[in-house]
Amino acid sequence: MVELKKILCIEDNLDIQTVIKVALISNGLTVQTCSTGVEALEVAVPFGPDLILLDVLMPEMDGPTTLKALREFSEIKDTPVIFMTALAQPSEIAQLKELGVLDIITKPFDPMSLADQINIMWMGRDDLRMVK
Amino acid sequence: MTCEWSNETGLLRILSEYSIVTSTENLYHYLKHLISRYSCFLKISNLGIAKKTTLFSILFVVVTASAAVIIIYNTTNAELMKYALRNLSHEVANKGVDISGKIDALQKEVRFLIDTQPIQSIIGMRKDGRKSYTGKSTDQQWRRRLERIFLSRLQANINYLQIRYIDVLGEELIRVERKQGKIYSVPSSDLQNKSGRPYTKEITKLQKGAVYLSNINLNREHGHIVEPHVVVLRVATPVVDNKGTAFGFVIINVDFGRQLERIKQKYVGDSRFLYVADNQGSYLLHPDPKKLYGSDLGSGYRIQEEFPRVSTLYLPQNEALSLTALPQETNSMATAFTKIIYGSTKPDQFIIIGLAEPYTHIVLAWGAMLENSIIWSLVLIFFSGLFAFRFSALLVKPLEQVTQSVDSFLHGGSTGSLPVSRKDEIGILARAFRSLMDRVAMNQDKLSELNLNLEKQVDERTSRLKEAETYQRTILETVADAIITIDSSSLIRTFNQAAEKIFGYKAVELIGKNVSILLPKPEQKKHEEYTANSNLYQSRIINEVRDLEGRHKNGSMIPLELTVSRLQMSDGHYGFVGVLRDITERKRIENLKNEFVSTVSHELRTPLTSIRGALRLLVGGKLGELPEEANNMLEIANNNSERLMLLINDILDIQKIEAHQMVFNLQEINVMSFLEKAVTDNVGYSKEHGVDFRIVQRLDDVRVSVDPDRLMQILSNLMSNAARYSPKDKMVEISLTRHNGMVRISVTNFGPEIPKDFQPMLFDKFTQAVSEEARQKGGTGLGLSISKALVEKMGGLISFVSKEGIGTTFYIDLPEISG
Repeated sequence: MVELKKILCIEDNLDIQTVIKVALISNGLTVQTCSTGVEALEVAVPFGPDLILLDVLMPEMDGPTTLKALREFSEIKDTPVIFMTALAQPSEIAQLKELGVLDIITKPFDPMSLADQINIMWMGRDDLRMVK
Repeated sequence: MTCEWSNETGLLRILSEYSIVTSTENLYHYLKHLISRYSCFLKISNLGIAKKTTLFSILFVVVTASAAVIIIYNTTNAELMKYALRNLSHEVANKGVDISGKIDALQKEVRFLIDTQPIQSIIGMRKDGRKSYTGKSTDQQWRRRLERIFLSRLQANINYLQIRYIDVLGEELIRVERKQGKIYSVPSSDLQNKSGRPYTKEITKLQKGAVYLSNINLNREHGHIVEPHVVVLRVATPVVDNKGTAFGFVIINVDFGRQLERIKQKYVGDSRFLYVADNQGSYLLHPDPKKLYGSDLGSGYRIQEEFPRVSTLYLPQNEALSLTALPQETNSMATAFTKIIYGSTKPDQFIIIGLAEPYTHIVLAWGAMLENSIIWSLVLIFFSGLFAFRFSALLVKPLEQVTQSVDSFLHGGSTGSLPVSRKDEIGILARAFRSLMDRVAMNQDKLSELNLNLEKQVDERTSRLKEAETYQRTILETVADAIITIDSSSLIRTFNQAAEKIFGYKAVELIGKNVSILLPKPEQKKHEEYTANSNLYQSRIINEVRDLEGRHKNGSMIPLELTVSRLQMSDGHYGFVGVLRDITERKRIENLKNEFVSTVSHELRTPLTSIRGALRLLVGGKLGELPEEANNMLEIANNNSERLMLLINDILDIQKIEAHQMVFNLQEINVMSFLEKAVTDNVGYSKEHGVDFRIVQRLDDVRVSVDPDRLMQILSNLMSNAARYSPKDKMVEISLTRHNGMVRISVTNFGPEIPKDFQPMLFDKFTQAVSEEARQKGGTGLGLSISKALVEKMGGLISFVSKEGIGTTFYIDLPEISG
């Protein structure tokens, strides 16, 4: 099983970006952060992440748009993506899941257990792939 | 002719006409005539009781009397004839006896005369041989004496015509006679010799004491019939001495005709006829003088010819002495004849006496009697009819009085005088009527009183009703809410002014139209569902406040708040009253508020997420050890950021519920498995508060339809509360049971009782028993309020029981899915 090492985090709120970064780095993960979808499109391929954390609500390019754009790159078109959202309605979550993401982390999240949470999701990615 | 019956006059007319009835035959015809003439009166049903009674009485009397008369007439006619005949024969016999008596008396007379002294003296002298009448003086003396005797006899008996003494030679010695009413003695010179007469010889041959009776015929003098005719009977007896020597005879000529006349006068009236005939049949007495003395005068009239049956009495061999004959025809006569043999020695010496009475006479007497009876009967009928009429009128009058009373009472008048004091049935009737009328009158009074009261009440109620109606109308027209009534077919019945303002329609445009015109398409569908399954949905919509959108006349949508009430319509069906409030403004404000709350919450949450994340990383030691005081500060900041996060989450939930933005994703779940998952998921709380969640009662295969996320939210809330208020190291018991047909989830802790004052407000927003304690225990004060709203939105109930020393149990009751 491939170990999760590199995570690309796309989050417009810099404070949250920092909290995520600290929470993940403290658990031994490599984190590259972007503030916008546009920025992410530049950084993503060169960085080559194992997993992408993508905020749903962002100005200009929102999560789903960014996801679609990222999938255009063949290098990262199969990289698992986890949405991060403050929307908690089941219908919204269901809609987001339809977009073919690994999972969804609802905000506010617990930074202490964020790495564990992501790791559990990472473990389940094969199931997703198998389903696909 | 008129058929009026004017009281007694009609009756009188009938009776007066009756009085001319004289025979039964006429009576019968007259009755027939009357019946045909007055047949209109026989329509008895039109008559009063008095008239009926009278008419029937008269009819009854007339019919019975007529019948009696006819029967009597028929049966008595024969009897009458017999009686008349018996009467006749009796009379005729009487006459016979009379005549016989007279003849006997004559015989005695003549015997008496020969026994007188002068005759005996004469006999004595003749015996002494003084054949010549020398001793004249003495002889003359005796002769004078006899003469005087004869004269006195003649005088005494007016019927005597002649008494003579004739000697054996036929010389009349003494002759005393009556001529032209005078009595005188015939002088010797005029005396005749009767020796040539047959009777002289006959008499002188007779024994002593024997009496000769001549035939009865007309008197003759010197062979000629004497005029006027005198019917004569000669009675003689011989004068004989003891030795049987005949000296002559005494003969009395009797005017028999006079005798007969006297008998006739004595017995016979105008109606009867007496006939006397001699032994030849020649009439000695006849009503018609021409028929008298048929044989003497040679006219030839004989009784045998007039009454042929009488001839039997003339037959010598016939010993019968009497004969009666009934009249053969109505113009003939009843007759009785008797044969009187007066010559005791000669059976051919007889006369026939006949009495005849014409049939018509016999019947006439009876007829007169009958007429009398009829006239009297009619008089009696008239009076009895009158009496019957008066009597029945007397009887009927009180009845009429009662009737008039009832009639006048019925027509609203007074009862008038009723014969209540009478002791008979009418009195009873009158009293019954009186009490009935009294009661009716009493009831009428009561009724009118009641009516009056009722009218008053009606007036009162009507005015009250009007007032109420005005009140209601005023409310209806001034109220700001639209009030619309629909019937069971969803047709609009009423549409108030507010409704007009809200929907832009005029009431007249909509009344009678389907209410769906006011609804947008989706609502129309829902409304159809409601009405189609009214029973199923009514409970959901009746008296529930519901928000919906209405459609304005111009097509725009209007947010409305709807309350529906069911209404019993006058046609027996149910209608609905909808009260609709235009909540455009409220919606706008609500939306503003919700937007505000939502925005604020989101805006708060974003920085809080960073704060909380940063703090947790610091507290979690991810950034290395910090001084203890700094750590304490961080702990405070972390706890409060945590609390703030929960608070914001809850506020967002509340806002969603109130904005009806909460969406429920209903799914069928197995409750038992779900509870097990809840225990697992909420293990964090148990660890945090040092308690142990334990399922103590289980029910397998129990399913409910819920939104699993929301149920989990509720359970988390209840379990965290239970853990928070539970004493440390105690159990929090979770059980699944059935209660009142629902599935009951119970969460029990054994902590202190929820303060009594606080219990009623437990499910209100932002309530916590003791805020300080709550702050320490954590919690937002919104959890139970949210839980209650969520449970109820899913069709369940939430409740609790809290007791000191026992603990607190929260119950969630959810409808079970059967099967």
